[in-house]
Amino acid sequence: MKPASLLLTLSLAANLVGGGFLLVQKLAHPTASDAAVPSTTVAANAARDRPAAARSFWSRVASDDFATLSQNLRDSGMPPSLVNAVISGLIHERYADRLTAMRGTDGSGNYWQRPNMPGLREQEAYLAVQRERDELIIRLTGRDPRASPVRLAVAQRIYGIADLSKVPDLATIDSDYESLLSAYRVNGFYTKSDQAAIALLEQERAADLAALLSPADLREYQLRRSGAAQRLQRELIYFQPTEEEYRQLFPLFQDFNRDHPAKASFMQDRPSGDAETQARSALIASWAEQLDPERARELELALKAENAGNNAILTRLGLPLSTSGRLNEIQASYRELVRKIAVPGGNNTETRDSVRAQAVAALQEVESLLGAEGMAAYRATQGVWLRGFDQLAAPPSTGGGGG
Amino acid sequence: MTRRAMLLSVSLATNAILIAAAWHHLRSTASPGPTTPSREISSTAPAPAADENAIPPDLWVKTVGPTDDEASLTGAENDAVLLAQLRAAGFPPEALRGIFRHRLDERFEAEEVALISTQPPATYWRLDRYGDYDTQEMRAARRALSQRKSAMMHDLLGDDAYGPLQRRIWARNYGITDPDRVLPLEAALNNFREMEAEARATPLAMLPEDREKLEAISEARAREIAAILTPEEQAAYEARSGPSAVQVQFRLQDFNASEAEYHALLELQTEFTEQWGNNPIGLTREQREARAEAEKQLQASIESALGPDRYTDYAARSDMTYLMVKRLTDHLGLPPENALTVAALQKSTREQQNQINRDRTLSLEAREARLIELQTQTRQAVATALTAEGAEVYADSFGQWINFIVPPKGGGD
Repeated sequence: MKPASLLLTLSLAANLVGGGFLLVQKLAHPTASDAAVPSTTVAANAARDRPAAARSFWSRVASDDFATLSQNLRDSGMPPSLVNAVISGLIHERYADRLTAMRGTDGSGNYWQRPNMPGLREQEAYLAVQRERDELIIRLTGRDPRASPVRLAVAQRIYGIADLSKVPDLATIDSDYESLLSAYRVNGFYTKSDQAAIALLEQERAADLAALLSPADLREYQLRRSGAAQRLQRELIYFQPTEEEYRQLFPLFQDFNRDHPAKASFMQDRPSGDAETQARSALIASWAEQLDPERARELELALKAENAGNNAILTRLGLPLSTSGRLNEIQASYRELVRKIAVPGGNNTETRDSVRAQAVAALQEVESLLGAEGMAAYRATQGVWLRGFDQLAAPPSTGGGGG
Repeated sequence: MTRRAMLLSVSLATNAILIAAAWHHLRSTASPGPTTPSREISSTAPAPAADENAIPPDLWVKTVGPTDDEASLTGAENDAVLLAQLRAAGFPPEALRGIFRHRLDERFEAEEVALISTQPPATYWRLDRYGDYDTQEMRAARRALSQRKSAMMHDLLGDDAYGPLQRRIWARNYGITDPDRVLPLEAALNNFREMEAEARATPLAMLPEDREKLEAISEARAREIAAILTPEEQAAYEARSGPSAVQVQFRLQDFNASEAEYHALLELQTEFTEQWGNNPIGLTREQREARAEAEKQLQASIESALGPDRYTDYAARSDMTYLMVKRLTDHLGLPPENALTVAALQKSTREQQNQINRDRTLSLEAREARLIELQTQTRQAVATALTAEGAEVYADSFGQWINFIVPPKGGGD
């Protein structure tokens, strides 16, 4: 081979080797300009018109660890108020994802299927995450989110305590116990073991509160937020007590509630068993002694389970509960009127006319008690029983009253 | 120059370029590049010098600008400037939302506290119809404040005001994720919700006039939604959160319906609700009877939509008694079939009770004896299905009807 041909062959071989080497190196070690990340974040950032130098600030301080991020931001000279805003804002954002996912309200899942109600375990886990979030905010910003001025103002209104310095801790205790209790309340009923667990929770709450609050503040809290208070408010829904009456009735009810815990969370309890029935009668008698006679009578009517339907409509119509007692008496008289005709020899014109007259009088009395509009409303709700009187009161030609 | 000589020259020049390129490449891969995009990425590269990752104390001032005056950071007039600075500094939307939500909360804090503090004292001694201590005025004012803050976030951050979570929730609840459509919708829904709560005067009792008021609110809401949304958006909203959707979803909670089944039921329920409303409370006797008849027709239509097998399952698992008792069986760790047993028992017992009451061949005493026997059998069957503890709860709550199988004595003698 000629020297020129040899040189050309070697040079071409060197081209191949050199090109191959560069290609391999390029694949193994891409340079920064080759490694541009085509993520949406970078694309979005690039879309914003900003100086290249400034772009690097967040990337230099960013960290998935909140403590590191917080420290980096402080180290960068960022004003502390902004650092706190970034940290607490980001913590809220990230925890919102977790908390809503725990409740099934994060928008995942089929839109036509309802998320399940949280049970006790779910509620406890949810509370733990909330606590973790709040503790993180306190640790990294030095600010207690439970003690924000808005939350303090709300809490003061809800708890009625004088010593406002106790509000953040009280809010935590209140929120924790209420959340746990709500897991029992959500079903609407309490089993025996639920009642025992609730009693234990209430005891623990009382002990925590006694360690935190003065006796006077503890009493104000109990009047507003304790299990006994919430149950008493339900019990007295138709009695509509004044504040003074409520405060009079509450202490006796606390004892009753401890000995005979609630069996339901949404409605007035019906006493079950002789012991509870007697204790309830004794309670009502003791209450009555503390009220003037007229209010004592109203209390008795308000608390009778069989009056509940009438009481609801009377309260809505703005009529006195004493009306309920008279309505019950009129309703009960129906059986007697029917019996007068049904007994042997009773189905005669004279008896039927007499019964008809009494039925007409009964209907007139109901209308005078409720008013014309009230009676129409009553018929459409609780007054189905009036149909029996309508039949007895119908003139003979329309076929009413039997024959 | 011959072709061979030219080829040799080009090849030699190429070799020179290749050598230079290889030299440059080897140098650039030997140390971390100055354009490393993040600390996370740099941590996987060869260890840099210790001070390269340290945050310089003047980094904020150099990259964002001088903000040594704290007061200038809190004013609304500086929001746009600060936002531009933060965006230029590469703050992600998540951080921007956090910062500005925090700033707005702080800015409106005094106003909100004043709003709460100037309300009349809470009437804690009476159960409020809303179950909280806020007056209606206070709720309305706080809601308005919250809407103002949302609008400011929207004006300031635009699309960045809403994160993926928010958009997922909107998609789930409304089928829409455009904030310009969702925000007016939510504001309207909140207002109508408040009006409805006000119209539901006292618990447990509703008058015909209350019903009329609620129907008027419902119609006004439908009109307003129709004015806010396009017909397609409205259909998406109605399928997720409309009044009929809420009803159907409640009944389907234990039925595991497919999307197609859900839409079939929703269509039928919507037709029914449009004519008869959500519940029979406040209707006259005649209206109730007509509604009950229409309800039978609705069930027949559902059966033909689902087919006989699925309908049998649907009828059992959407029954209100079953759904209530299932809460109890779930709570007690009993199988849902036990709840089905109790629901079926309630129906069959009622039928037997009616038969006994209608039987004119029975004397009063014989009828009473038959009813007492039926009541005893029913209690035993419930105890078998729910255990003694469950039966006790049932008797105190959903199972009061068992006490009334035998009519109470007295009243008129």
